[in-house]
Amino acid sequence: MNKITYIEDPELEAKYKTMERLGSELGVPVPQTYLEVKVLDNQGRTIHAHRQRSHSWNRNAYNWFYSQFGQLQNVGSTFGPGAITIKDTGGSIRVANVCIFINTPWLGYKANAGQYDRGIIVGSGNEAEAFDCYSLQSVISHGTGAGQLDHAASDLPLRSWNDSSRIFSATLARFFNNNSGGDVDVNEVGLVAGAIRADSASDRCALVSRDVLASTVTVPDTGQLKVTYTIEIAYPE
Amino acid sequence: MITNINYTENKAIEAKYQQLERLGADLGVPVPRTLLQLEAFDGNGNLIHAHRQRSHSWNRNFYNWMMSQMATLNLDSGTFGPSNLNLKDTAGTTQTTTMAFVINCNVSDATRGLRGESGDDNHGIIVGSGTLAENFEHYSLQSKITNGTGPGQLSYIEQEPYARSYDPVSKTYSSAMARYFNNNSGASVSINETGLVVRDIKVQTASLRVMVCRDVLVSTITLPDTGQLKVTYTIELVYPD
Repeated sequence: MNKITYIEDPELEAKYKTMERLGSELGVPVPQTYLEVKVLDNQGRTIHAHRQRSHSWNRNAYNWFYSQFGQLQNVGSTFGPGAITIKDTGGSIRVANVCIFINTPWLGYKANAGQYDRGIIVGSGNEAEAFDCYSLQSVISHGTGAGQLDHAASDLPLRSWNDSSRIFSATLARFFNNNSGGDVDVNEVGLVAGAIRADSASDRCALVSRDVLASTVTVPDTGQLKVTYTIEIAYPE
Repeated sequence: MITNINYTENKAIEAKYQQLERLGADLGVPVPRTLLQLEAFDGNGNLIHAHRQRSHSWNRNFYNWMMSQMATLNLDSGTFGPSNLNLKDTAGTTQTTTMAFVINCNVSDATRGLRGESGDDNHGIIVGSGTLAENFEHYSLQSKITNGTGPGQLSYIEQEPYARSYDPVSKTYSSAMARYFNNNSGASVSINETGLVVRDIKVQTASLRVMVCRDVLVSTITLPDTGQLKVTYTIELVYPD
């Protein structure tokens, strides 16, 4: 299998396209986010490959983005409608001081080898996506035990610019190796930002999107999983 | 005397904005909505001009700022233009450092973010007399009206604290930023452009002033001597169901 199947529902895809065209025409930045999942067996053959829209910027992401362009902070003490707060992956609500993201060369969506609390992470849960989710349902931990995956360090983000479409693109990828001795099922994928700054601490981890896969992706023993998020913005002419 | 605030947005364009926002809410994609309102009062407090419109002019700085945040990318080197992710400050200096791109601009005091201090014409809401067409590459107003009481100047009042609200029915967050400008120059002052300048966008360790939008008005607003201008930017985000 060499082909990557694009599985987005055509009706939804048309809506995304219309939204992006309008954003570009009206000069409003509209993020486009894609998720690609690829599995290789131990011979390096691709046994699963699909690409889809990532549908699930969550409340953390909305609050983070809005705290930037809407200049909001310190709004409310709950996590829900009417509050601009961050709920970290530990479930703690961060309410005080700024509610922004800090990007340094070693933070952001990047994760070191073995880290499964930030960057691109995967899980086995299949609970429906929810706007208020702040962690994966069942994160797959790092290791070589049963049900575990070896989390490689995140690849360096790839950035590109397309002159004709005027799209600026950032590609974030991470590999996961299965040395567990058995199959590992993956049903959910998340993007965790390290160093969302809230509560005056500079290193909170916040899940900003969680995608539940349309069907289980099984990584065979000694196989490899590659998850890629691509975040794009079309610039106006 | 005027009593109504006219909404002047072109209907066809307005329909497109609304369609965009509906799709954003439907698909769970954050789409910022920005409105600009101008009110002018004469020396007796009578409203002599009032209109509300869309702000159309997020510029390259804003796009790069958003891209750097959403994708957690650092700035890169190169020129300020297509294919590079950097900022041009209001002095015209392109910030291309490869160090951390740290943004700290949503603090509510009047020394940071989009809230200008009294007498400060370098950040927050600013106004100018230039009529040059809006351009995505702009990084400053064409002809900024400076703070003061001399000819062609306006007194910049400290920007109002942000007025925040949330409408649970429409699921819309709203943040309104308003600033008053008093004309004590001894003559009329013409306003043709408005802008938003963020202070404390941090690149490496520097605190910068970066203009993120510039709106050219459809027609000149003439502020009489001893009159007052109020400019309000409202930035909203519709949350998904």
